[in-house]
Amino acid sequence: MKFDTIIIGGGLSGLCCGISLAQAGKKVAIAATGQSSLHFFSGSFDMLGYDIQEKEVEHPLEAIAQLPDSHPYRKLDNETLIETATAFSQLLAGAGINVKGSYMANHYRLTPTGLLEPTWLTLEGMAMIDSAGQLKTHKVLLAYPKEFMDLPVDFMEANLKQQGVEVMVKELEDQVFSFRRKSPSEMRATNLAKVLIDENAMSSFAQELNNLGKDNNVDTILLPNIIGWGTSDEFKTLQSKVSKPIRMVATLPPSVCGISVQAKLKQRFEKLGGTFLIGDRVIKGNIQYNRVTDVSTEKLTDEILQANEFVVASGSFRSQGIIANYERVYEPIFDLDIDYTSQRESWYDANVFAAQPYMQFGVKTDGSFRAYKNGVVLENVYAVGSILSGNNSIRLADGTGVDAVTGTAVANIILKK
Amino acid sequence: MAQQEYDVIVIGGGITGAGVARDCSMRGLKTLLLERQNLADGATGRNHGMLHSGARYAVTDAESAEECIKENMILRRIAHHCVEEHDGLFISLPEDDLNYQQKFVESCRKAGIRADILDPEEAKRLEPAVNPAIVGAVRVPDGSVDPFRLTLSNVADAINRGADVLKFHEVIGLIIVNGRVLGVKARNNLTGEVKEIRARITVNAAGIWGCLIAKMAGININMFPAKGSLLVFGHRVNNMLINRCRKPANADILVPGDAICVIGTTSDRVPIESVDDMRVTPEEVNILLTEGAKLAPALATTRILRAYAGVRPLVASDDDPTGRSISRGIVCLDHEERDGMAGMITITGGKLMTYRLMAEIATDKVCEKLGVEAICETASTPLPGSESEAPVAKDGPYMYLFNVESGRHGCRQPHIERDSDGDRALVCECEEVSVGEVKYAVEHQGVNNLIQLRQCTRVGMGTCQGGLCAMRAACLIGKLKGNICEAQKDLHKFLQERWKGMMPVGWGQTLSEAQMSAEIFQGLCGLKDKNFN
Repeated sequence: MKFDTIIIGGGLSGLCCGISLAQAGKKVAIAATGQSSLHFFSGSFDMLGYDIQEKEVEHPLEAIAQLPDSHPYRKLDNETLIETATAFSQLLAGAGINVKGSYMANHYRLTPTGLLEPTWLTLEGMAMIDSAGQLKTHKVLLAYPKEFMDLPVDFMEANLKQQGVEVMVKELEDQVFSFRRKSPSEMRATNLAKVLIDENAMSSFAQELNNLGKDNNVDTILLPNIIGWGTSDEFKTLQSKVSKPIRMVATLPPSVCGISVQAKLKQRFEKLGGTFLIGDRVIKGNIQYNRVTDVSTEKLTDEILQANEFVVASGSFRSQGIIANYERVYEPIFDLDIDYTSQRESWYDANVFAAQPYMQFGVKTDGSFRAYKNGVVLENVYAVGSILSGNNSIRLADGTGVDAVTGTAVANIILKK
Repeated sequence: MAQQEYDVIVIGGGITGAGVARDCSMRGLKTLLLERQNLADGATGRNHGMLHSGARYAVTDAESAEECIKENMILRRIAHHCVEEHDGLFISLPEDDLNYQQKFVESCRKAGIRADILDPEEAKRLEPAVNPAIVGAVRVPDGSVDPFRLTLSNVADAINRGADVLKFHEVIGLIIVNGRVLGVKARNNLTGEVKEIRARITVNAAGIWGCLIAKMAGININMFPAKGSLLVFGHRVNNMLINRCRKPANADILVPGDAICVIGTTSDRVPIESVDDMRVTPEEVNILLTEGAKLAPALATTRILRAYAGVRPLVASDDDPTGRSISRGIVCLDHEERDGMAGMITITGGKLMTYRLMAEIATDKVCEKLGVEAICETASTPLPGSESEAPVAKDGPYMYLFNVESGRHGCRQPHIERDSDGDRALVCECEEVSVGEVKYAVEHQGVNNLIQLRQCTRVGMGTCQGGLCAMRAACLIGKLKGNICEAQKDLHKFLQERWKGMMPVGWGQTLSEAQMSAEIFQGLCGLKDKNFN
């Protein structure tokens, strides 16, 4: 099979790149192993939440200009960054993903523990607020299905109260989940969301929320993100049936909104004519004269996948885009050059909450995101997303932003070639 | 300052102190156990968890070997819910001297340890994970023991019999009047409050820290802190314990337990000042991996969960100030006789395996000093959880949960609530820990924090190392104790503690797991250092 571009990795960065290319009429394939960081999604895309001094960022573009040159964003000038960010917002809209927010100024998302984190774009229906002070005026009802443990409700209640919010907590005893409750490990967000695809279940759920909201003087109902698994806009349906405004908060994994975002992007990609190889892993590539000619996958054993361009979007350590073993850190498909320090002791900080040096390890790229191998640039191999070196996405709160921006930007680079 | 009167104060909540507190309480003495951290925080919780048959010492130390086999048989009776009886193999590899095997078997038999020479093929059939290159194998009654469960059971029994236990209480001085120890000055490490507590006799059972306690009375105990490092693997590759049949050396024991296995140990002298924060070095990891793969080649490709290190309290004999003749045997020091300081004894040396005997020796001495005539009954009285056989389910929808809980709590398992969906809901999927079990631990086992919960239930000890369960468990403890603020700080401490063990083996899947954990707690949930200060 021959493609214009083959993308390795079906997470946010790979999908952004794939959709952008397919939109321009290119023949694109994405090979995806399955899970990605979207399964841990918070419901918000972060451009840059903190600067390198760990100070909260108000205006991402200004703070990006202050990042060290090794950071992936710094390969793009301000104008390109704005163009790319705008293109990404349009890309989301095209996939039917509605968000609020702007790259001009961060707003806050509400975390599962009731803390506020600066962010860029937040999915419609998820709890967000423009400034921390605004929280104080709120009276919320925090409602969650009985026995659901993947929202630390007590932590959320305590932390919201500390920020001046009036919080009332209620368990939902709705029978719609009784079947799930029977099994000790089934009360997970995605399983509950699957129940609420059913219209009758949704009506009964809405009824219970109305009953709770009726007698209580609250302005908002907060719910764990257990709505939105199906293809229709279930959140809108629920809101139309409940009198009080509802906002959702991300749960511990698996993330319903993240998996839904991934599904919608994949759908959009396929609608544009893209080929999505799901559950397959690229295992090796053929390199000749500093160009990759083709790759082979675990499952398509007698098929050679050829392309003009290759994009590596296979993630960091957790996704095995890069792998550390006893001796070294390596990229398993092409053995691309990795930026890392060879002394293993220098990979870590003893304080788990401090910046961990290993987080910055990743594939070394030139100014156009082209990867190196043995010190030489591969002419048609690009790296995007969290496989890139020079970023600690935990410290800077920029992981999804780097995924979105670099994925989209590399598509443009390829198109201009 | 409050004054309380006890017959005995026991310093140190490791297995030795727990055993002494139990024995003293059983003999009718009003007892107080003091521990500066959580229970089993020192060497007790940082070893192989091996139920020695004594075979390992048979050639070099016949006395220890005999003690071990006796205690081994006792623990199988009184603490069967803490013990796994899977037997062990002593293997000879081509580079090992087979003549040693003969000597080994003779020594074992002399010490009363059953030792059967197996044909290597038979050994491979019994234990498929063993190095296929073996040229000889001997089967002995080694097993494994959960040191946390054992310590907690001893403490629980002491409490049942009237003992008081103060965790997070550190002895910072001794009350000494006219050459006699009258009690201790203890600081509550959580609140900073200091109080004096008096007792007729004080038992120093503080492990390696025992020499520091003795120093408070101006007494010198010549101790040699010997660090031992170990690695925990994410799978149980072997079902029988595997030892090398040669003179004891580094990393030559592989112990299976629950769903994991442990390789160890190294042995290095360390300065006493360093014993509060032992970290495993890359060199030690290297030795453990290289030697471990010789016992079971599968270890080379098995995920390492974490690394940890403990410090053995080795004592040099009093007549040898150079410390050359170090004993691993039990040392009971009567400071009145030895140093002219009445009112205090020290029990040290020994090993996890012989804790009960150590406690008996120490309690005999206490009784002698106090003029109490009561005999030791710890060898025949089962520990809580082992009074009868644990219930086993053969079928039913929650059979697995039922049996896992029986494994951890023995015959106390029926006290765990599992009638409602809510009580059966899983907090920790790796180790199958339900809400009901967490409630039981908090309400009946004195659990206040995640580390104590881990000791009781194995929460956070599985493949996710707390990445998925720590938040649920912390929140649940906070709710049950009514202290959410404390629970959030506790979560922070727990994540630090898990990372400490992952860092020395931070590559492969362990590093992926650490990154995932950071994404969840710090990324998704937004937890930062400042949230806890």
